[in-house]
Amino acid sequence: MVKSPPTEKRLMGAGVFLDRYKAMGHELRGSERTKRAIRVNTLLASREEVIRKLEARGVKLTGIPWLRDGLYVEGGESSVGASFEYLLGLYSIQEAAAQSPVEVLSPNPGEIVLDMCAAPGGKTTQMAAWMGNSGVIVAVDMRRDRLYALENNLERTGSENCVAYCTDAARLDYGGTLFDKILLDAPCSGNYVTDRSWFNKRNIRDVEANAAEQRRLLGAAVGLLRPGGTLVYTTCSLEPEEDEFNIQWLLNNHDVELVEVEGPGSPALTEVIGKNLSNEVARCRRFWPDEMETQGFFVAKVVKQ
Amino acid sequence: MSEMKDFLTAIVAVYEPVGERINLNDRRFVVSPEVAAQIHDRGRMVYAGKLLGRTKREFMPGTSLLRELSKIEGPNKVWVDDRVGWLFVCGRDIFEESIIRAEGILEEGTCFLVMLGDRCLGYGRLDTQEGKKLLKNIFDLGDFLRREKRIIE
Repeated sequence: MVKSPPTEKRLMGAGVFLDRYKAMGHELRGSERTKRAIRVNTLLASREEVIRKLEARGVKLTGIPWLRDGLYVEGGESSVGASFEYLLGLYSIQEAAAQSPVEVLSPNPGEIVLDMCAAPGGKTTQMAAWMGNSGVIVAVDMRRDRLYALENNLERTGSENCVAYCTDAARLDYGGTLFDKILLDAPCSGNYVTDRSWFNKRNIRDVEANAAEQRRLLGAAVGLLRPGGTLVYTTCSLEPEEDEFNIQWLLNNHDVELVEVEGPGSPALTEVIGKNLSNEVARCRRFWPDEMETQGFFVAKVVKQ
Repeated sequence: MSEMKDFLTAIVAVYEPVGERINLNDRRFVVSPEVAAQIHDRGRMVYAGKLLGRTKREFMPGTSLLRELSKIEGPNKVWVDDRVGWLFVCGRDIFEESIIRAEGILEEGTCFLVMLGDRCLGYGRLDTQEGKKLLKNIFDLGDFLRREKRIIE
């Protein structure tokens, strides 16, 4: 087993991260878990049909008040991962916080949308549903193994307005297209809520490396957006380097306006780890696991000038 | 039966997909003009528009194609109940006595869409085994779970 060098070890472990979250105002236990959720695929079914069919199979569901198509799975006799309705594409299993970026982006029928880090495709298929399968989604991901899951999801959910590529979204030839909307659900450090061994795997150096990669993608995204177009940037990281600091970098280096993200969650931080950020950074939203019963999440919305 | 037209003939369906046809290795797609306009790098493309099916030894229809065929009159169809439908998506064949209703003549070699209410679960070909007629499973939606399992592994 490869051991981390002593200096690296000081930068990892539950204590390091939980202390950081405490300094951000949240005393987390490190054992918070998310509630199971599904999303109705409105391309193929109504919310009422999914509820009726799953409840007939003994699944208990409640609506997620802040999501259009989201339902919490409260328990029951049947597995939502292996039902006729799942196989028929009437719903997808998608964590509640992960459903929010598409609601914030709000893609419309007929628009040209770029999904920069698309696999495994939960948000891509959600956008196809919002767009009623019209317009086009260009879905890109670098990892071929994860794209198989995206292809599976596109087929199962009847999402037919997508073209998917296996490459770096910052380097693909888009033929000069400038997009109406872009979703950058950036590769990130993740969080402990969805990964029980997270504290043992991550250290601050990883976080910083991910943040640098995210800035590269953010810069490329702004270049691919038409003037007046909207970019939604999200991570499932609680680390400010990947969230608020990157948004501050975006404001400092690109001609964009930060738009208030409405809905659930807390305003993003403007004083964090000894840094003071622009007040407008508070227009972004953080999902804290203790407040939201979701995974840790961050959402920012910008409009290109 | 390695192409879509052979599959359509086998289930007695008349269907013409609307849009531009695209072949990607052994997969057949049809795309809208909007999607076609965003195809600039075919070498890196892995999926586009509506998947009509895969051409291997046997044509394996995409679920969008099955969905559309299930809505039109003409194709051979058999209806089953929940219990038999679940066994079918687990890869099992369907005995004739488990078929609730059929549209089309149940004769050996004929293919049928397998329906649960107004939704299609897959398709099969009528065969005879030890003197009993059964619908041999060729493709079922359980394939999604089998693929997901392979992806995870």
